[in-house]
Amino acid sequence: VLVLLMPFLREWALLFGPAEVLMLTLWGLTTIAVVVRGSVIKGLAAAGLGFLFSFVGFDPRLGQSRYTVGSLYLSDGLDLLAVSVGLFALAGTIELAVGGRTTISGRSRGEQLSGSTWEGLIAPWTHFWLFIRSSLIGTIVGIIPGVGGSVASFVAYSHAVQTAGSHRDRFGKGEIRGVLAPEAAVDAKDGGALVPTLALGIPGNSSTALLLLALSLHGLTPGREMLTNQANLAFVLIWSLFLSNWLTSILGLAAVNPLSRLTTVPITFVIPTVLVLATHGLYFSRGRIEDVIVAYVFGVFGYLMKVNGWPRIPLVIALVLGPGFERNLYLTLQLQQLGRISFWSRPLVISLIVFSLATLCLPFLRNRNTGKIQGTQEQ
Amino acid sequence: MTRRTSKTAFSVFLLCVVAFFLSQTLALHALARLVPLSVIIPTLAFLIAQVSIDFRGGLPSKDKTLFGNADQYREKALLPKPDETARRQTSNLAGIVWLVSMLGLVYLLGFLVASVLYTFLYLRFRGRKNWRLSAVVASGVGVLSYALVTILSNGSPYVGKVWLWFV
Repeated sequence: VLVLLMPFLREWALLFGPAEVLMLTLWGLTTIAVVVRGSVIKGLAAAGLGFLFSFVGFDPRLGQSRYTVGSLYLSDGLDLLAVSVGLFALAGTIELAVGGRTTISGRSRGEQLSGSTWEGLIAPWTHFWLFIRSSLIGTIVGIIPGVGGSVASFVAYSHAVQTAGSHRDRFGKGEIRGVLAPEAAVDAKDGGALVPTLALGIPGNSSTALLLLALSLHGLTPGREMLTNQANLAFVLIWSLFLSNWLTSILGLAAVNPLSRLTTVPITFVIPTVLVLATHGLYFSRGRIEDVIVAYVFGVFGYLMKVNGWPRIPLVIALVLGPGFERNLYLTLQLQQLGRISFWSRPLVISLIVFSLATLCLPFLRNRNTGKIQGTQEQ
Repeated sequence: MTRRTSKTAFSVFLLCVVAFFLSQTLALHALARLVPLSVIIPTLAFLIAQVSIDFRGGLPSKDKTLFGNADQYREKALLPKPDETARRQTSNLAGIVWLVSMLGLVYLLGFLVASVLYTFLYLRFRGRKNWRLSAVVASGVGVLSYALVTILSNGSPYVGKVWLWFV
């Protein structure tokens, strides 16, 4: 799908100026805040916090130091890798430590793990059209900026249940289609998510946010420049994704049994090992002990967010998008002041504002409809 | 502290974080305030709304999520019993203390010593494994840590504040 879309993507990307990218960023974040588990208000506030954390360092226009509390280290801004490792890996480690489980799978021996590799291997062929439809759902959901794997799997699962006919009651009790559909959609959404990432430099989810981070570490800027001047690089990324899907499938099949046994390793052995590896990795990425401190601070913060029902994904994505948001906001304001653009007369900008507002209204409209249906049923 | 109080306390904490950002922003040059304020004002509004919701005991579940009432049942199922709440909070605190202790050990003793010592202490006292097993696993982690330090640091690993004080 991506390869077929590439010629159109180049043209499409040229339609997006700073004002459009700014509004697309806001729409993406609004969508993430609305679809993540938990309340919409918490999602939006978490995104706001992510933006604020991304502002730590120097003001790009005036060069004035801000939010650094006098620290020289913070003048460079918060290290994205340290924050991400803290929010997810270290917070996950605390979660494992306090979770009360003895192993990740809850089983103490490999023999107690159920399931058949062969059954999993032939499932996409026995349910071929469901596999294709779910993959298409994943691709389309992935293309929409900000909508990630959880939505893709949710929609694909709902589709699988709706098309199961009289076998609907088997879902949730080990029905293979209940696993096949969401997994196909989640795998396919990565290809779709590359569309906004490569064309506009806007990550659709946390994994493409990390990809964007990795590209920027190598001095590459996804967006119009990459699609026009470095199209070969974009194709390399697309083919890498295609090959990596095959490779991970082959490796996954080969390693499924030993890997599944890893889930039976007692958590008390897993935690110190993960902590040691994460701490070493963090330090050696830039050779700064402050990165380790930042990661641990965000580890505790991420865990408290998780415990108190605050979503972490909007925060990380806003942190990644923050510098671009600031740059595009300044550019838009300057272009508007110079009379080079008229913000309110750009069709794409208006469309994106409408999309953002519609996304924000979606939960309330849905709840209103649900309330009406419940009211009718009660009557 | 109940689960609800903990949620409210965390929302208030986040509100304080944003208030800190606001106070710092007001000290900036007028031109540099524009972008941060465009984020701080709505964030502050969302947080004030969230704190007031938390103080009132949360929204009715139908207003909570795009996926309707799904979370209501999930939250009810996950809601701890009153006697479990205290145990869970102690457990949460212990988890955080164990994590922060790793940072403290690394900061004071450097990577190599901290990795071995932390693994040993964690297995022996948190995991309640026997001395011998704890020592063997800690040694294994020490070897792994040494390999990582040697390969990745080009001979200049962080050795910790204690070592620096002595030298």
